[in-house]
Amino acid sequence: MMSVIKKVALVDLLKGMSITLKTMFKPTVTVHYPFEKVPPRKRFRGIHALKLNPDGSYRCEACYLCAEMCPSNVIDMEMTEGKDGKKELVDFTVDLTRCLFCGLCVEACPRDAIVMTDIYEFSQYTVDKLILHKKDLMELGRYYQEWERKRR
Amino acid sequence: MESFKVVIDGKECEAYPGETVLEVAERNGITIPVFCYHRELRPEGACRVCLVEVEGAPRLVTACTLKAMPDMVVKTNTERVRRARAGVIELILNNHTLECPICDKSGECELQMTGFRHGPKKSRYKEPRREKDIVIQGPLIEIDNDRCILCRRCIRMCGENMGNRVLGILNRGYRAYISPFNGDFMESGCEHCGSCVDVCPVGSLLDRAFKYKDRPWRMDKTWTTCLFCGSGCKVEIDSYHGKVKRAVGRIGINDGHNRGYLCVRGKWGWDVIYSDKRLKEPLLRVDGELRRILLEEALKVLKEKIEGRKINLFLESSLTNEELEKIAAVFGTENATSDSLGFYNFLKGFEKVKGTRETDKFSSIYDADAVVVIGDFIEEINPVVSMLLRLAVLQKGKRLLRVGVFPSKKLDSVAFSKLLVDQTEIIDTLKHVILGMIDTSYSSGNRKIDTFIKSLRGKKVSFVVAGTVFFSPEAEEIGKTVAYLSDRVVGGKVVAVPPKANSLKVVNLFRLKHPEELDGDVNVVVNGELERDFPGVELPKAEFTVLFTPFYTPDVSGADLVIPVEVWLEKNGTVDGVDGKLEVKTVLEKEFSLLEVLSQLPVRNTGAESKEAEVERVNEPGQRLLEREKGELLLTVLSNRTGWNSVSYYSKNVAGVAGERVLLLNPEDAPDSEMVKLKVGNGELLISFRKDSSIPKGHAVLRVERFTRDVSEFLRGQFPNLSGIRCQIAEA
Ligand code: SF4
Ligand code: SF4
Ligand code: SF4
Ligand code: SF4
Ligand code: SF4
Ligand code: FES
Repeated sequence: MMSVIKKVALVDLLKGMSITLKTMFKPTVTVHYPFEKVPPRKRFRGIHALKLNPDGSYRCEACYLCAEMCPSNVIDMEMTEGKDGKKELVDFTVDLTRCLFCGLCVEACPRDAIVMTDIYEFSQYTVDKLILHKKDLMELGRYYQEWERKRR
Repeated sequence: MESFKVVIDGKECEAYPGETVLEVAERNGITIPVFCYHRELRPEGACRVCLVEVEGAPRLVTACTLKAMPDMVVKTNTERVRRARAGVIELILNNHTLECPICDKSGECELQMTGFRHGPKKSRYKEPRREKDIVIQGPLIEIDNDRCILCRRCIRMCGENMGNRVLGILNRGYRAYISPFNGDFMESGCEHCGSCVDVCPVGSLLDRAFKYKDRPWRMDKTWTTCLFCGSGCKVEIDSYHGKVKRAVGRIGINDGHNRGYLCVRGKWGWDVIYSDKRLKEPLLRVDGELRRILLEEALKVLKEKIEGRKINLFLESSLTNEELEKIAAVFGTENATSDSLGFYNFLKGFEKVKGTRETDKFSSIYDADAVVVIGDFIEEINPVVSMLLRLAVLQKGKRLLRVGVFPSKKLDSVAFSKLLVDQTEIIDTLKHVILGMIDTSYSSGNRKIDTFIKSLRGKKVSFVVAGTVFFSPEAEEIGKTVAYLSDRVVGGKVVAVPPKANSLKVVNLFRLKHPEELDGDVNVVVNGELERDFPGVELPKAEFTVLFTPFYTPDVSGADLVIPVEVWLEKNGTVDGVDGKLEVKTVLEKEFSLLEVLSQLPVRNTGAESKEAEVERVNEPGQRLLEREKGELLLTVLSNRTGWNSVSYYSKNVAGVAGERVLLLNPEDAPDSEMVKLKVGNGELLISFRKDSSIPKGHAVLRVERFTRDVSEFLRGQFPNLSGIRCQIAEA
């Protein structure tokens, strides 16, 4: 008997609608991604970048510690002796298809050279584009430093 | 030897007289940190990190220099020891650059490891670090003195073990640094054996070819055998992603007969694989011109051309056993010649007297009391063998005796006695020794020979035959004489060090002929270079000439079909070295493989099984063959250490330290002009010379870096001889 009355009086429906009514007049929280974006948190771990010195050269010394630390074999690098007798980074590759964004590589770096940006949108149509090379990483480094400056 | 007991850390250990506490501890699995101690070097006690506590001694003692005594009680791990150790390491680290992230030693650095295990947890040093900033760069070696901990390992290695005395400490105290004596490696007489680089515990002495090229721990490490000469040294090839980065011997860790010692070829010659003279594709002569073709086409042509034809086989002897067996199956064994022909002649003579061709292993050097070395220029042809002989004297106290023609920088300084005689008299001298061994009252009439004989009597003797002996016209006779002599002494082991890595297999598998006796229709040259391996030989007239070679050799222009093959660093297989089967291993990819090409060719069933003809036995020493008329010199044509096997021609590293081409003459034989004309038979060679009083009168040494066409033409008709060549000399 009670249930029939409940049905007729639309108690359940009203109960549900009460939430709707309550929130209807509050400001919206839904983000219309990809038209709108949430700024990542300060310590967000996006894709990698290689930081640069003030003169535009890379800070990385090719010590391979980041690659050594990496649990999933993401990083590889090639090095040689440069013309000036200094160590030169020939290539630095980050294979994003395998990365878990754990940030251990950043922790390992003794020169504060490898960092993680706030970039989380990096899907590509082909896999090979997901392998970042030294040039890409230095480009990202420039972006990172800009971003870091703004953040301060 | 009587052993006795010492107690180390409460453990009873067995020790032998003469052993140090450190050695006893090491054998019993007790680690004591060291910097200046190295098992191949004389202990010096310079770094003080090996301090231990000895019961009854008031102060801590260095374990590396402390001789073990009966009933000694040693503690290596007390608080006092630990603090002293940490103190020593702290002092070393105070002025150490600690640039491990870019240091090439990082990962295998003894300072890193020992510092981590035994060092202080933090430094109390507040002053600015001393920066020496002295970097000395040689062509292949670099010394970064900021990283040096002045352990003096390199100095002892170079000066005592190698006998070169290139390195030393300049300045004293705070400013002391390591340098070649006059600042330049080449001028100081460095032979670039790389041993100093190998024993440096830190990243101070660097391999320049490896500088900043890779990180030591991430590379693939492959133990293989160096095939640049018959010594067959065990060497570690480090590569990353299929690219070779360096070769290391790992002195003290290496368990090969060379114990980690290498020569310039083994240490730095690996970059022959990346030579710009590498052959990249097969070539075929079409209308008189060489054209690139595909391997399949090359194989088709090859099959056609060799089908049913008799092959003139020219073999270079650095091929692996597997390859040689395949070659034997495909091309036959009866009509072959090789650069090991001289070695073959020696063994033939040896076999005639002994009844067997088997010679002994390197270990027989260490079993004997006295080692008689027969042959010259071992330090150029098999450098590591000469080092091992030297170390047998220095470390094991063997008696080294030399019979030869030319003085040897490496061996003479440690030789107990030496008989340096005219090259024509080598066999007669050996015969005197034979008589002296048979008859105790024999007197040769020559005091030197008599003392030589006396120092052999009653001793267990081993013989080492190497170097130029195999290139002498008397090779076979010397073989007989050595065999005869070895039967008349106690022990009597004979080590014959082949000139090339797999000479032994070649002489045992093929019935070698002189090139002039070849009577086939098609020439097949495998791995060889005519001018280098067969100087003075012209390819016989043939319908077709096939060349298997890794490089663009001068012979390519005369070939009809050229098929690229790999170099030994890209091979898997075995070789027959002095110490038996040696393994050749690689992780590298290769484009062309000799074995693969050969396995696609039809197997011949002619002759391959025919047994070696029985040699007729003789029971007497050899006969002297060399004579010299008045005014004639006996010429030895010697490939420099760097140029042996053309290493310096194909390797950029070694090219930087290549030797020169020069004629060495005794001042009395030398004319007044600047250049001389050498005449051998019909051949002539115009060359500059240097007076060298170490060259005995009546002899001449032509050092070449590479056997070029003019040298080869000059030596027309002399093959397989490179030593004891009669020549005239004229002013030019
Ligand atoms: S974030 Fe983690 S998984 Fe990714 S590269 Fe760095 S260490 Fe490797
Ligand atoms: S020598 Fe050893 S401790 Fe010194 S910088 Fe090199 S790796 Fe580091
Ligand atoms: S490479 Fe050999 S010869 Fe040269 S300095 Fe080092 S140990 Fe001495
Ligand atoms: S260069 Fe190396 S081996 Fe030589 S003294 Fe210095 S640390 Fe020792
Ligand atoms: S002695 Fe011979 S085998 Fe040994 S490293 Fe030198 S070339 Fe190679
Ligand atoms: S290892 Fe003993 S003093 Fe250096």
